[in-house]
Amino acid sequence: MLAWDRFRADREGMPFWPVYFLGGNDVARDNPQIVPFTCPVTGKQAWAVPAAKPDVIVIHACRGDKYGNIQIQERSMLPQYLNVDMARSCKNLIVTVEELVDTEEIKKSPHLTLIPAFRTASVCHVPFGSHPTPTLSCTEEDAAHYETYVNASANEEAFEAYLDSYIRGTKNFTEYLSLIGETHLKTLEVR
Amino acid sequence: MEKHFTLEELLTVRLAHTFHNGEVGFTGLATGKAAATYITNIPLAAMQLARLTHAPDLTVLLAGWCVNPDLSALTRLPSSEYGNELLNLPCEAQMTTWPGPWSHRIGEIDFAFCSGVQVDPEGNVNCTCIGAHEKPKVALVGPIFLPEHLAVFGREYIMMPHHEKRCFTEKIDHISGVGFPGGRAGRKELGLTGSGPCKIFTPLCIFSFDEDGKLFVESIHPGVTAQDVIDNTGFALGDLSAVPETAAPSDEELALLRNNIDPNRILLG
Repeated sequence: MLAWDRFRADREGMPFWPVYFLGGNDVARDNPQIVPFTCPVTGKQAWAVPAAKPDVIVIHACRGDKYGNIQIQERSMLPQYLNVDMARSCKNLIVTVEELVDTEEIKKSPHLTLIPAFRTASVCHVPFGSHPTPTLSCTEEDAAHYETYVNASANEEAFEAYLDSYIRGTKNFTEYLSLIGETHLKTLEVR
Repeated sequence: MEKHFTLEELLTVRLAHTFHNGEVGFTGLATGKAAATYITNIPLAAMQLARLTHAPDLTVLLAGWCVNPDLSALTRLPSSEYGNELLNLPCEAQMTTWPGPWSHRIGEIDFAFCSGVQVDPEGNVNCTCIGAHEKPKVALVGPIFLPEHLAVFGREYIMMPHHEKRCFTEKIDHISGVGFPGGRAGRKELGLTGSGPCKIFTPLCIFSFDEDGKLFVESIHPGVTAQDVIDNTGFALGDLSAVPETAAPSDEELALLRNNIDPNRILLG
């Protein structure tokens, strides 16, 4: 989870985050951007994991208002929380949301606003925007589509065919979703 | 030989005996059937068995954020650490930010479980690639959390769903998790705060590590011969004639597993 440390550095405007546990690990050996150094305080071997410095981050969330106040259900689990960290680490944040609501609605549960409007460059209403992955408390993962994707990954020809039908063959996300099918998408809604 | 328990039950009970009261055990939620059984299901059942027997104050930290989940309430396993099913699993705490992605580094976790496609006799684990890292024959899931597992957690159980020559190799293609390179002394020089791998559980046997940090066969499962273990391991194991059989679970332990811990047969099938 070193990747998380990269965004952690960004979040605080630091060029790197120091870690101490890469001794003997090929992750440090294979990546010249992870720089070994001697800790100035303890004298121990440490490694500088460079900040990710993302220009743009795009995340998907449950709901937001037109100003970019973004609400994520409060019991976000660890993987989802990386979204929030990333959202707090970039210059330009774009958020797609399941539901676009009025600011008055946002104000009824301000504790759920994990990203305030001033942080958000753009908010877009895109239901099922995380398909085929789940959005906590909104949509389930699409296991059937995962299987399609994995099967397509068996060889180059099959993968090209997948890209042709789902990505290159669709003009936009709405067309992509219509390929998945409204009836099937309905089954993915969290009740 | 007729056995009245399954391999999964055997491993679960042996694992449970190695936990101590008051410890914190961590497991992620693995995906894929064999991996999930070994890294997630068996550890969860074993921790709960320990809690119901000799270690009532053991803490189960599931996926790094869910404390002491009530597993008997499960009707199906959450499909991933992203899954909605986890949200409503009864538990004592749901903590997003602590120990979270980072605070485990201060030593909060006493033991955890990992897996990989290759393990070497020094207990180094590969879950990153087969072949050269720059141009792999097979690119795997990547190191994910494995560096931390084997570096900063108190001790680590390596759970291997397949015991084959290609999984237990003299040299592995990528050290994603560090065991005892150069023995325990070698590990010490690397400055890692955790004590590293303690045991390896496989369908054939249980490995442990001696005082020099070298792997040895601790016990061989009922119905498995020493020759089976030798034939399916890609490095020399020495003379296994004196290795004991893995102790069978007691009737009480099996009853607890079947009636209390996993009544819906979600974890151990």
